[in-house]
Amino acid sequence: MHLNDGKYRDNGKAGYLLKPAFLRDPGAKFDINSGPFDSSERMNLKVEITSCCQLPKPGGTAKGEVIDPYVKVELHGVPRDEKKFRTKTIDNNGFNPVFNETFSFPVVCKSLGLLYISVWDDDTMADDFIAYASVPLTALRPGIRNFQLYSFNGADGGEFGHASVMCKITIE
Amino acid sequence: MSELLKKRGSVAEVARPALPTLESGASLTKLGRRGSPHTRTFKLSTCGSLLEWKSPSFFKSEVTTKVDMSNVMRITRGQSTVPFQRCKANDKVAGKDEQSFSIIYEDYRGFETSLDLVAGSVDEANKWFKELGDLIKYLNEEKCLMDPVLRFAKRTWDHADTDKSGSLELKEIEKVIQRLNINLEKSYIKAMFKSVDVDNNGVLDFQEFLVLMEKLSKRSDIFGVWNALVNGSMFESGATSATSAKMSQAIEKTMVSAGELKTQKISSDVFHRFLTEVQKMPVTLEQTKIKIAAMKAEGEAQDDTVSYRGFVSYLTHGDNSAFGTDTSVVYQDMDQPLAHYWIASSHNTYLEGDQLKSNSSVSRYINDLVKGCRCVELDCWDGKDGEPIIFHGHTITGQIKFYDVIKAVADYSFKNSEFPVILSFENHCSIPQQQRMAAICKELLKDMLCVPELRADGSMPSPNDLKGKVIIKAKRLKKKSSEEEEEEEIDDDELEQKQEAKTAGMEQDAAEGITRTKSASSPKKAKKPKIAEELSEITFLAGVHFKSWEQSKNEAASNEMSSFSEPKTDKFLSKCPGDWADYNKRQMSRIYPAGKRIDSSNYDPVPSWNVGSQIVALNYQTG
Repeated sequence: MHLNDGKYRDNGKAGYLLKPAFLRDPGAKFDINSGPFDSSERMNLKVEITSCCQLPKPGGTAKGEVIDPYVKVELHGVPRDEKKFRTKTIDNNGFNPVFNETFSFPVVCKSLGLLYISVWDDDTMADDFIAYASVPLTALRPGIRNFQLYSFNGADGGEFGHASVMCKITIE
Repeated sequence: MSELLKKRGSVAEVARPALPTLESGASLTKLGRRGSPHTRTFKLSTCGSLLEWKSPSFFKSEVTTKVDMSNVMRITRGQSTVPFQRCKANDKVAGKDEQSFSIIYEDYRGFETSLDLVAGSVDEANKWFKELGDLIKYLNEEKCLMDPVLRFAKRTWDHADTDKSGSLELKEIEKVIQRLNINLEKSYIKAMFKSVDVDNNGVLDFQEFLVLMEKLSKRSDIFGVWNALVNGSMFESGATSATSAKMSQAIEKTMVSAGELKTQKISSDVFHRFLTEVQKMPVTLEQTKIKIAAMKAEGEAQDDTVSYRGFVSYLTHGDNSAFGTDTSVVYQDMDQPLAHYWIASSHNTYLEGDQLKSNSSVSRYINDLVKGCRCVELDCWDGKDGEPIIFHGHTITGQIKFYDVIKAVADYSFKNSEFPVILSFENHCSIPQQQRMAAICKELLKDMLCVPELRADGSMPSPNDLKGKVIIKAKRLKKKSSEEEEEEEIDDDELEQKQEAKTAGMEQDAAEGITRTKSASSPKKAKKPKIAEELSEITFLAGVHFKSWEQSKNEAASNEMSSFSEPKTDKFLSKCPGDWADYNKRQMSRIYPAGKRIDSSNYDPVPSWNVGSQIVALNYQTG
């Protein structure tokens, strides 16, 4: 659902997204494993997770311990593009943890790619989910940018109203 | 860009609507969690964003409950929510539809909750409804336009000032710092409190609190970027990563150089270079200057420079989202055949929770449609008194009336998206109740109900062609010659789901009080036609049993489509993704979760999107 939310936020939230030409043209041949992947579909994506800001506690409760956050960065798309990374954990700071870690994604099929970022509270037992953001690669902007974070159920108000991840996005 | 500039240009003030009823407060009947109505006095808090009411408590004399109005998703008139449905038999609020309204909001966990109220008169209900609508609209605008730093401070203040004294004590500050996930020694907080309490009266007013927030929100991360802009190292060759590790040393210094920051500025030239070279935005220097003017806070010098405060505001503002396309503008070509689009789709839309025993509600349809979901599913069964109902067959999930769902579809489909809505019927009804289904659709949907023609080249019409229309996907009667074949056909979804259910060891009898038709319970033996002509006539997307890629390519019309369960999808994805991608260029396919996902968890939709499947149905009620 998190990927679905990010995908359909595009195109004015119309609920309809035009598929790329290789999935529309009767003459085009396309295989998710072997392509062909056109040069216009390729890019070198670098995502620097700079910091997070005003993170809520797990589930958005007001009480409880100060969290120990880390960030997972995932790319979803054709099998070749699927990749996952995570940052180190920053102890005791959910207000403005600074990570400054960069991850590289050599993308072959941009039109089918989605960037998924999730924030977790590091815990000795099981880590708690804090918030997420997802964006289709076709809508991703380069530069020092902000991701608004959403609760597990997609809420962006209340304790989540100001939660964000700051990134430096480089697209080559 | 110009749109954004316009928005930022009016940052200064959004006019606050007059809210006489909300501000003076009034007594309303509220439905309790178990549906029992009681009277409470509702009032807007002094800060203007929380709706409050007091209730008696066993432990204290009373407790105050608050709903943050910025979390409100929508307000509705009438009695459509679950608590209202539960207490319909109760004559105290029954029949007072005109006086009833519900505030539907997200609670702190992000779950949808409703506050269900009945006013003393229709006139009073009108006033409440109008003012609530104005307030929500205002708060939304404010959210878009207000300086994020100030907005955050305001919100934090509202929550911190628990005793509503208009000032904050040290204890309240300690609590709010813990709440903000900041780990600070108590002695440090005390020292900081003292340093900002300039009039030394032991409490902080809002201005003093703003200074404290500024100290807390130093944003050492942004300071690194700012520093690189001020000393010019951002554009030096080799310094590709402005926010690289060496910055972290500089970050430590931020604690002491706060005063310095206030005087630092960058010129419009430097900011222009930052926008074009780092942010890769094609803006001219003139446009940059307009943007700078829009970024100025009240009382700031109106020159061409950017202050640290302005820069933080720029970076953290919603306009600087990594999501680069304006999410309020439909920019794609909407004139291609339906099969050329991915369509936002929900699975078992009516369920509030898991797949076996959760509640069903009309509210879920409204929520999904308002969210932009364009394909909802209706699992239709025979109900009492000839009225078809919707629930998850063979389980004890709650039931809702088909009529109520279609009413919600008619009322809410096009609130946030004008593009067509697909109703996916899973039909288990007897012929008479199918006829009733068709009659209900015609009665309530009126002109929205549409059975379009295929285009001259045999392809389907486009989203633009079908704006404001509702189309139905269901099984259709075939032409006379092939009717026998039709009768042998087995409902694909149902059969597979049953098999999966069996293997998962969760075979269940249908809930009591449900008359199941013979055809639904034992489809193989059915000899009579299963589909009412009336329903078949209003169906556009014909659900057919998938035979082979070849057969589909050579014989199927473009509005014939098939459903594939999750296991089948996995099989096809690994064996013949290319064939499937070709199929999806002309015809539509619908993917639905495996029956074993009784907890309503979701599968990974990406592989199905990769081959171009249009309707990849997910459980919207699950995150």
